[in-house]
Amino acid sequence: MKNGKLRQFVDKIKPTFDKGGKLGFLKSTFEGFETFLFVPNTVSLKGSHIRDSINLKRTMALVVIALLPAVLMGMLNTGYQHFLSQGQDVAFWSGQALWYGFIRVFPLIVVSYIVGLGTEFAVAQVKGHEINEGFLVSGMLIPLIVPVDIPLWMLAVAIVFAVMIGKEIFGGTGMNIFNVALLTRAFLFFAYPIFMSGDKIWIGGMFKGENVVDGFSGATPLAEAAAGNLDSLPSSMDMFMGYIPGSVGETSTLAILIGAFILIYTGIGSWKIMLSATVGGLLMGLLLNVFAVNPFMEVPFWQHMIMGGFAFEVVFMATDPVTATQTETGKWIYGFLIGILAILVRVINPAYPEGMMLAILFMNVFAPLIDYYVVQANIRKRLKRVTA
Amino acid sequence: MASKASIKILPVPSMVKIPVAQHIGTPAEVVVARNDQVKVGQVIAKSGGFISSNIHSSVSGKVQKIDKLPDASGYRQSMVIIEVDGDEWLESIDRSDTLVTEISATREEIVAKTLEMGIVGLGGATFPTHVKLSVPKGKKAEVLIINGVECEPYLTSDHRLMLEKGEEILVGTQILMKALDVSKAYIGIESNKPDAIQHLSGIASKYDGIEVVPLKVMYPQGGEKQLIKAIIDREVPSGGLPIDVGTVVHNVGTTFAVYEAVQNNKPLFERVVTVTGKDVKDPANYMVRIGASVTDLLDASGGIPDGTGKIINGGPMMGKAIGSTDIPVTKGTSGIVLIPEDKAKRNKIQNCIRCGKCISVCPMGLEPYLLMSLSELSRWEDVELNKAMDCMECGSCSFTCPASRPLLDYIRLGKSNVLKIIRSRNK
Repeated sequence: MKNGKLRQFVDKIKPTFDKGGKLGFLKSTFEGFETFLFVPNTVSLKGSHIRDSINLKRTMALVVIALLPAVLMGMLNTGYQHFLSQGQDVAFWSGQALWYGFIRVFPLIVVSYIVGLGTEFAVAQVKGHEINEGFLVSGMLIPLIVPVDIPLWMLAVAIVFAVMIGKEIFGGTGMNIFNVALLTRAFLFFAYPIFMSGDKIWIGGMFKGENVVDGFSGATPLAEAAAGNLDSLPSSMDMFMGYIPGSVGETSTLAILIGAFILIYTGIGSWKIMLSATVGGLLMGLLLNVFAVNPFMEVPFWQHMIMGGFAFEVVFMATDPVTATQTETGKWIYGFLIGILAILVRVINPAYPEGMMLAILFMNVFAPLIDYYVVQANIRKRLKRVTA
Repeated sequence: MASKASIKILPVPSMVKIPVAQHIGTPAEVVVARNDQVKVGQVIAKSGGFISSNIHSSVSGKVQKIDKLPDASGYRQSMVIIEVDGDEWLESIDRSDTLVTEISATREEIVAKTLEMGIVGLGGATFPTHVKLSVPKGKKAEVLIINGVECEPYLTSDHRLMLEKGEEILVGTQILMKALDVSKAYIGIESNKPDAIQHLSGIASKYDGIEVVPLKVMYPQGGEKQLIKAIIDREVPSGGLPIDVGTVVHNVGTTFAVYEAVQNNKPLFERVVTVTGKDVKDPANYMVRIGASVTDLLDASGGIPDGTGKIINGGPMMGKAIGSTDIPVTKGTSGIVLIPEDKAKRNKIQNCIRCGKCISVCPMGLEPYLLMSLSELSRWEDVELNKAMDCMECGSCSFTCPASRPLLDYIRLGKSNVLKIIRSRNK
C-alpha cells in the first residue's frame, strides 16, 4: 500500500503536531502511532543492508504468545479452584471453569495494560521522548503473578509505581534496573501485605468468604510445605499440570514448559539462564535435603521446580533481557545464582514461603557487575593472546 | 538466486573507465597518454610501490583521456578512459582453453608473475597477491587455505567459478603451494554448496596434498580468521596476520586468476561479478571486463526493476550503497545487489534491551553493544581497550539487533577515532 489513503491522511495532519503546530504538545503521542503504522523512510548507506526479520515489536509479541498457554491454564485453574472451594463439582477442563477464570482474570489484564501503557504515554509526552512498546510483555506478566482477588485500584497504583519509579526515571524501555512485573508485585507485597499473603488470597472469591465449604484451606503447596504438612501436599502430577492453588500464571508447569520451548526455539529467551537457574535450584534443594533439619528442607529437591513461582519466573522473568546479564558467560552465572538464592530464600526465610521474586530482584542489581567482570576478563584474555 | 545459471560473458562495452587504484596500497602510476593505442592486456599503469599492483587495459582501443571521475565510494579518483575499437589481445596471452597442468615457473617467477599480471585478492579486499606470497623473514607458511566460502550472502560468483573452472582452480592451488613452499592445502567450502564440494573433491583426488573441507553454513565463515579457526583450529592473535599462525589464505577467484596469470600469461582484466536482487529480472554471474560500468551490467540483467530502493556495490552485509550506476567495475567488485525500496529503509533506532544477541553473533568475540555506547560517549580510549580494532565490520551485530541499533556504524566511528589516537601515539 504505497501512499495509501492512511499515509496521505497522516502526512496531512503531521504539521499540526510539529513544534509550534496547534497540537505540538502531543508530538510524542503522534509519533508513537505513526511509527506503529509505518516504517520510517531514511535509507541506510553502509552495511549491513539487510536485517533480521525480528525486531522489538515481534520479540515482545512472541513473548506474549509464549505466555498464552500459561494464561489459558491459569484461567481454567482459577475457575476450577473457585468451584472446588465452594464444594461444587466442576471439571478442570470445562467451559464453566474457563468462563469464571476469564471474567476474573480479564479485568486484571485490561487494567494492567491501560494503566501501564497510559503511564508510559504520559511520561513520554512530558519528557518529549518517543514511546516504546516495552510494556507489552510486562502488561501480560503482571496479571499472572498477582492474586486473582487483588482490588483493581491497588493493581493500578502498583503499576504506576513500577513504571514510573522502576522504569521511566531510568530512561524507559531497556534502561530499567529491575524487572517491572516483579517490581509491581514487590510493591503490592510490601504496601498491601494483607492482600498478598495468607492462604485465602489465591482462590477467587475466597478472600471475601463467599460460600466456602468447611475445611477447605486454599493453602498453596509451598504454604503447606512451609507449615510442615508434607503429607497434605498435592501429588506431583497435580502440581505439574497446575491443579493447585496459586497465582494465575504460575501453577501449571506444563504450560510454562510450552512457553519456555517457544522462547528457546525463537531464540528470545536465553536457554543458558533457564538451564543454569534450574541447575542452581536443584543443587540448593539437594544441599537442603542433606541437612533436612525441618520438614520444609525435606521436600524432595526436584519438587521445588514444580512448586510456587519457580518455573514461571525462571522462564519469563529471569530471562528478561533488560534486567539480566548480557554477556554469555554472565548469563550462566546470573541464572545459577538466581536458582541458588531462590530456593535458599524460599526454605530458610521464616516470613513467607517464596523466594523467587526477591532472588531475581536481588540479582537484577548484580547483573551489571557480573557483566563488568566478564568484559574485564575478556579484555585480559585478548591482551594475553597478543603478547603470547 | 544466481547460482544455477552458468557464468555469462558480458559483451565488451563501447567505453571503459579503469581506475588506477583498484587495490589496497599505493595507486599505480599511469604509463599511457591521451590518444595512445592500447591492446587487451597491455599495462596502462605500473605498480607504485611494494604494496601496489599493475593495472592493465581490459579492451583494445584509443585512450580518450585520463581524468578524475567518481568511483564506487563517490569520491573522484584517477581513471584511464578508453574508447573501444575491436578486441585485439596481446599476442603473449594464451587464449586457448586447454588446461596446462605442468607448472614450469619457479617460486620467484610465480611471485613476479602475480605482480606483473596485476593479481590482487578478489574476495573483496583487493590485497596484492604477490605481497601475500612473499612471506616475511622469520615466518614460515605451513598451510595454504583456499577460500571457497562465498564471503557474503546473495553472492554466487565463487560458487559458479568452482563449478566451471574446478580444474584451473586446483592447478592454481598447486601454483600457490609451490610459491609458498607448502605441502598441504585445504579448500574450504560451505556445505550448502554440495555440488561444488563434490566437484572439487573429485578433482582434488588427482592432486597430492589438497583436501576439500566442507564447512558449516554461517556468516561470516568467509572471514580469513574464521576460516583458519574452522579448518585448522588455530587462532590468529589480536592485531596479527594469518601468517603468524603459519597460514596463507587465498580466495578461489584469486586462485583462478593466478592460474591464468602463470599458465596463460593473462593479466587480471576481467572478473566474475554477481548481479542479483529480489526483483532483478535476470539474476546472473557475468564475466566482466574491468572498467565496464555498472549500468552495462544492470542492462544485461534486465535493467533496474521498479521500486528499487538502493544499489549496493559488494554484498548485502558489507557492501556500500552507490549513488550512481555510472561507475566502473573494478578488481574488487564481487557483486551488485539491488535492494527493494521497503527493505532499503533504516528502521527507527530503539533503546537497547540488552538482549545480548550482538555478543552471541560477533565472530571476533567482542561486545558490540559496549563498543557502541562507548563510541556514543566518545570514550575512545575505552573503545580501544575493548579491542574495537579486532572488529572486521561483518555487520552481524547490526543485522541481528532487534532494536535496530546501528551498532556497526558506531563501531566504525570508534575505530576511526582509535586509529587517530594510535597514529598520534606513534609519531
